[in-house]
Amino acid sequence: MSSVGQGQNGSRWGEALRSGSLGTALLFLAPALVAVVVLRIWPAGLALWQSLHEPGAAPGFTNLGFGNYTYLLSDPVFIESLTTTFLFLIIVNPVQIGLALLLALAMDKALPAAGLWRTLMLLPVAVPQSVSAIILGVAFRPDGPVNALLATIGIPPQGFMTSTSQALMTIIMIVSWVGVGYWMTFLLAGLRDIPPILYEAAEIDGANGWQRFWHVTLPQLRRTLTFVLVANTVANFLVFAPVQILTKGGPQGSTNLIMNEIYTRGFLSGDMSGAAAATVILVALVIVVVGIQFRMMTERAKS
Amino acid sequence: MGSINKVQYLLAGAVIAIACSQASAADVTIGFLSSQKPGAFSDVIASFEKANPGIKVQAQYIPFDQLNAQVQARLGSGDTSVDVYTVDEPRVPYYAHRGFLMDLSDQRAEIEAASNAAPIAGASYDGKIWAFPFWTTAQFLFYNKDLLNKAGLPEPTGDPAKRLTWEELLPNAKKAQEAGAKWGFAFDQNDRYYELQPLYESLGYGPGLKGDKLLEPALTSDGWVKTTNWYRDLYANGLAPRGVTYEQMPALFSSGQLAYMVGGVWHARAFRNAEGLNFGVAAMPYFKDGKPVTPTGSWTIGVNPKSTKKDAALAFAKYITLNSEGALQASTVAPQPPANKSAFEAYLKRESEAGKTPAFGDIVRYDLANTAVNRPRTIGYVVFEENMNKTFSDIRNGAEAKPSLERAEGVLRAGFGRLN
Repeated sequence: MSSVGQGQNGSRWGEALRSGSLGTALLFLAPALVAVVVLRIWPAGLALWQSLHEPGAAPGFTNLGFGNYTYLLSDPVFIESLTTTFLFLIIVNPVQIGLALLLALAMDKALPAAGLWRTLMLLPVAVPQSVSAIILGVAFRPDGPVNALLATIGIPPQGFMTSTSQALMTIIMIVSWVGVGYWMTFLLAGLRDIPPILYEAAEIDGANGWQRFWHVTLPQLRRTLTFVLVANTVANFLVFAPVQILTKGGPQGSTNLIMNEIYTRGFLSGDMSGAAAATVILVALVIVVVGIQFRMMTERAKS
Repeated sequence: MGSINKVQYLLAGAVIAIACSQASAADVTIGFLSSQKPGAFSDVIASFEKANPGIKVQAQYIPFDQLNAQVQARLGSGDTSVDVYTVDEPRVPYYAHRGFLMDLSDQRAEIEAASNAAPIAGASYDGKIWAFPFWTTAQFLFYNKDLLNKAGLPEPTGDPAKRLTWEELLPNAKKAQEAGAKWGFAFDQNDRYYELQPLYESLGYGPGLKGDKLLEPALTSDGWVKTTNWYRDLYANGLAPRGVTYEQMPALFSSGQLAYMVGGVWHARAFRNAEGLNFGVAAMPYFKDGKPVTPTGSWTIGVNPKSTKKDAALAFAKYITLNSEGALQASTVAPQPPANKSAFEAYLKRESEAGKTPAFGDIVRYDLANTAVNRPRTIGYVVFEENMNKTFSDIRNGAEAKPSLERAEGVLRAGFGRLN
């Protein structure tokens, strides 16, 4: 704090300190800061520590230290859960954001009964993901209503959650059922923030609908889209409830997303240090992926 | 109330404060974690508290599927809010190894005097007793009399020495289905190793684990693949329903959609209360070329070694297991046969008479003495069971038997490699 009072930033801090407003600000921020430390930073540190140390109170697994990481990265089940997670993300992110954007564009137009549509789209958001999973789980049962519906139009019954080729897609459908409406609200707010004058100018320049979308809407929506992309990616990395409730990672590991793998490892098999190491790997992956996304979005903005 | 003055308020306050401090000095509250339905143990807890003034039991109920996760997370992190908990019998070796169970060897004489031998073996590991034997289990072949009548099928005998073979049962199940039953036959715990292990053991193909410490998977022998294909065919042929979880299975039987079901003895009471259901019980079938084998092994009661109220915890654990009255009352909870010798006989009499199913007692007694097989006793059991249940689920829902078993073997090798 010796630099307080020097330079531009320093003088602001110094001024704040002298006037006593810094203390007040810290006081107001304290609950949030404590929550961040207690709920985020401390558990993350604990996971890192646990991934390297077998807690003395829990014998039963070989004391592996860094070996936890080499073991995990050579374990076919863990590697499979990573590839499944990436496959899931590659499909679910564009699907959710694309649909959310389409819906937001539709909602932005003066549709008849817009309030009703908006309510219908937001309804799944209000229902907890686990409840949605249970309801849709019954719907997608082999002898459930969805197959009955398909039968009426002559389509043979589908496996959905019992088929290795369809289970992940079913989970994607269930997750998107909730996600699309949620992300739509952010994109709709972003659309409403675009100054109408830009569209008027584009129209005067003779731009057609597609050109207006490409040259006005998308660049203006970039900040919102960056947020939605990053937040959606993180949320999808952490998908757990529908998998746990509906498939428990099966059939044959086809829906074993990384959060389910960590849960199974830690809480069902009791391999806490292995689960902690898997958590550290997950956090590292999220940071890398989000970092790349930020970079891509800002570079495109510069260009 | 207007006549009460300040001094009286203060006096009343002081009296309440003293009363509270005395009560807290005398009362001990212990936490009891179980996976039964909420409120299931209320009556037995009330009786215990009446007989043991000063000890209060706070019951914590969680679903069966979450019990293991809770125990691992809470006891593993040194949580002392659980003093006593229900321990699935095959998990005793692993929990003992991890330090989740108090060594009860000094209670051996008392336990041996009160309990049957098989459940004691189930609560033991490495020469020591780690839990109080609580319940044991047996399975029945439940059958729907109305559906069998409709198909012109005879009722299976209640004599366990003359039980049906699978080869006799399945054609009948098919006939029942053709005559109108939605499903012909199903296992109630359709994906659980517990109920499927006897299929392999009946034909002599072993439990799926080998080696000194039972830490080597043995799932891909011809016998295992053949038997797994038999199980797979039940679902592939439409005799049994796909995509239905264990929790939903008994309802298929009680609502008259299922002709035959292998299921735990504890379902008998719910079926008795199901309106319009006319059912009977017979012994679980076996393969013609094999011998009758039935699953067993149930719950034990463990004490948290880190409990700060061990005396009270032991008193409660003993009351529901070693005390014959407490044990009999607790056996109304699930209701499964108590491990306690005298409560066991009273239980069989009570359940046989209540259900007007005289075979009830005969089958349970016969199977526990002659056909019951325990699950493998190894520290690897938790990893084994979690993976086997998933594998059976995959196969039931259509996955090929051989690659699924090969895959399970690989997963188990990696998992067992971590255990020491």
